[in-house]
Amino acid sequence: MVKVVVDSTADIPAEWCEQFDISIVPLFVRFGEETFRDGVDITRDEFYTRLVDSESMPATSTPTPGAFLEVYERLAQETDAILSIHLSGKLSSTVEVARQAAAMVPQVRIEVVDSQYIAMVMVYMAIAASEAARAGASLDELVQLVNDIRQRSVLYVGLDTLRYLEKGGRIGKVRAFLGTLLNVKPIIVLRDGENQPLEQARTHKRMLVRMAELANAHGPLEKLAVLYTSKRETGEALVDQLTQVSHFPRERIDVVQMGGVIGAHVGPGGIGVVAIRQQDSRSRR
Amino acid sequence: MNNLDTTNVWSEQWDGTRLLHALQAAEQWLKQHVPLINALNVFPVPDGDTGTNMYMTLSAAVRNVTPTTSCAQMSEQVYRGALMSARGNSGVILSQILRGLAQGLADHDQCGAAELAGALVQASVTAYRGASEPREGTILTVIREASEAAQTALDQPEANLPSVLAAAVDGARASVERTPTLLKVLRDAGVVDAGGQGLYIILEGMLRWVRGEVVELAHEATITQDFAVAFKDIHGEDDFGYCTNVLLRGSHLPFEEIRQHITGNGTSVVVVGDSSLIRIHVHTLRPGDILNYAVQFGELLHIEITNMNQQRAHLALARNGQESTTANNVEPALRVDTPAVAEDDSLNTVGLVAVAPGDGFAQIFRSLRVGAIVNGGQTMNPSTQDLLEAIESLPQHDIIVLPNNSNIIMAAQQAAALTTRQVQVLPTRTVPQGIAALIGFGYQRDIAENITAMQRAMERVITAEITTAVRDALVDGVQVRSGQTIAVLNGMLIAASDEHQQVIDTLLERMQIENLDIVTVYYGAHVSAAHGQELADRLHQRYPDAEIEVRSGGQPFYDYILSAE
Repeated sequence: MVKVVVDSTADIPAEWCEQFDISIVPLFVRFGEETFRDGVDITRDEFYTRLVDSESMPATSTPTPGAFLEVYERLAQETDAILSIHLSGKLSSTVEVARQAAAMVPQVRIEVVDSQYIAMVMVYMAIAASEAARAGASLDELVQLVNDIRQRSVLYVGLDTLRYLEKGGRIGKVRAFLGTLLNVKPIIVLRDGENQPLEQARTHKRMLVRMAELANAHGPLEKLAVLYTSKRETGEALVDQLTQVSHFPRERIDVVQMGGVIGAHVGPGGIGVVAIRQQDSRSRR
Repeated sequence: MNNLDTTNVWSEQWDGTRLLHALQAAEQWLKQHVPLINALNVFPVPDGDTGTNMYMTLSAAVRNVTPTTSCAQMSEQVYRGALMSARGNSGVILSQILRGLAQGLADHDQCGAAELAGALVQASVTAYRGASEPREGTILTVIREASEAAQTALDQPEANLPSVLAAAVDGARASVERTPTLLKVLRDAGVVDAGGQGLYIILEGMLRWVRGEVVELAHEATITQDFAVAFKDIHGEDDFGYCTNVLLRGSHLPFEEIRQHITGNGTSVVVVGDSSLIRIHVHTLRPGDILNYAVQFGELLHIEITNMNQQRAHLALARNGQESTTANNVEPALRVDTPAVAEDDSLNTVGLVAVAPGDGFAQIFRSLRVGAIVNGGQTMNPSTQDLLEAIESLPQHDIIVLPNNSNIIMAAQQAAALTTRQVQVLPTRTVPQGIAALIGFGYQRDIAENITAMQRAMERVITAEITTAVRDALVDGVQVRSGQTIAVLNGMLIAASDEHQQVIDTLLERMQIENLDIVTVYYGAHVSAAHGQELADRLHQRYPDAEIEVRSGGQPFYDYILSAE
């Protein structure tokens, strides 16, 4: 049976890890001299407390090849095929490190996949892959499955401030939003694996309204998730908005806190929405 | 001149020269009436005055024409000029009237009674066609009724050009007098329509020329303040070294500091601009030092360095008659042109043009990715040409124009019709509407999708303005005395008082801020930041739930412009 690996930027809730037998390789977050394994050595709440209090910006770095090697070699004792799903190669070289490590474990077939996304998109990919693997799907079929989910995914991020994205060096094309002389809230779309500026909202409230509209515009939806950083209530407010504009059942909206690596760039007060479109009739045919 | 002999051949039959003289006489007559026409403004706020706008439109149109004896060619030139010089809605309609005249005279080298009457009818038809929602009781009614009167006069025995023109003038006067019966706002204000009055004056000016009553056609030279510095004006023969020109763009540029530094490091120094755009001209032996200095403040949009020793040699050659070159067309030693819009602007597939009435607003617009700013607004309506140049300065093919003033919308639409670019005018009537629209701008959307989204964003915003009444008036049921503080909410005058505070309080109440999320206070050029903050503090005390922002708008005449949504 194929085994599934993700990196820590999937921010997969702990209970799903166990339930779906998904292994995690952590990236690193460093505050000054202190280095933490993302989601292992520091809880998400601890991270945001430090992020807000810290004078310096945290630095983030990829997992070591050794960390991948360790996971791959452990899984190689149970299986001959591994699907390793990672955050967009345009945002991090984690996927490259994974490929290097995979080449060092010839006894097992490892498909390293660039999800072109972050966070819950990776989780939905991993869960679907894990379920399909249990049903007997081959590694090639899983890669196809993941590619199909990628095609149906959208991810919007609303920022309270551009500061963290800028200092973290991931601003990319979103620099278009820099220097706005009014206090506006930028909305970013993750497209083609990179951050792209989408539009701005005059207030936090309008930002939530717009993000709900944007996500809902892709309906009918198969999956819907709200990502929050430091404030759970912001996430709940977005859930309220989504429930108002869409027919998607409230209890099926996954509300997940972003972890350290993603959170270091999104910054406190940031919010995200992930939607996976239902397979439309065209792709079923 | 034989003043009163109306049977004179030249007054019965015009060629191109006479047509031009008649229009130039009309321009002079209009000029004398500008204050009177401006006083007919219904709204007691300082804004782009009809008389000024019509005069500036006509004035530019009757200059810079190439002499021709053909009425067809002359009227065509005048209309083309007016198309570019049109300012304000009345100026745009005037340009359409001149266009109709040109259409009517298209096949006529000479213009007599019948041609004039026909051209006036065509002028009326074209002007009506040009208006998206023609309203009666305006300049449109006046041109129509003037043309009808001219037609009637043409049917009279022994009709000639003077009699037809005189009938048109009479028809126009009577029509102007009737405008208050057609438009309630005029009736309430106790005035006739200003644009109609302007047209009547123009026709009367032409008639006076026919009758020999206006003889002074002399034009005094117009002084235009050009941002760019003409090379020959500041270069002498003895200059040496490198003439260095830099166009620097940035935000919060320390203008005075930069000016002083440049002055201390070269000769023939000219530094002009503002805190967002500075043009530097300096003669120096070390041009690289100037570039290195400037680049630390922002982006160098244009760099041009000329070796003046070389240039002096060219001049000497020119003086000796060996080469007809001037200082102006010496090849620069180095010319670097970066596109007017920075590289990452390629993100905008849709370009943005906005009219900004003040430096603060201009900076805010730039920060919202507007590629071309046209200075102007309430008190100074930009011409079609100003808007056209802004449109064509952008690298994008698809462009959205934000006029940000109801009296600039028509000129913007006219500019849009004159370019090969794909231009949409989003009819923003206030600066807050323009800013709201820009915040609704989407980077990944095409022009049509953006127009829809920006329109929605613009409609959400409430605009309030605090200014001083420039005349007595009764508007929207409010009695206003000149000099009083007045408040305008979404274009409606809602309060007037000698007590500044009272007006602000009334305004805040009417805005129902308790139901709004955010209020932005833009303070004017003559208001201190401290006063702006004071108003914001009071807003915050009264409405603790609303987000309050204070920014410098830099607008003239208007103490405060408030935006709320």
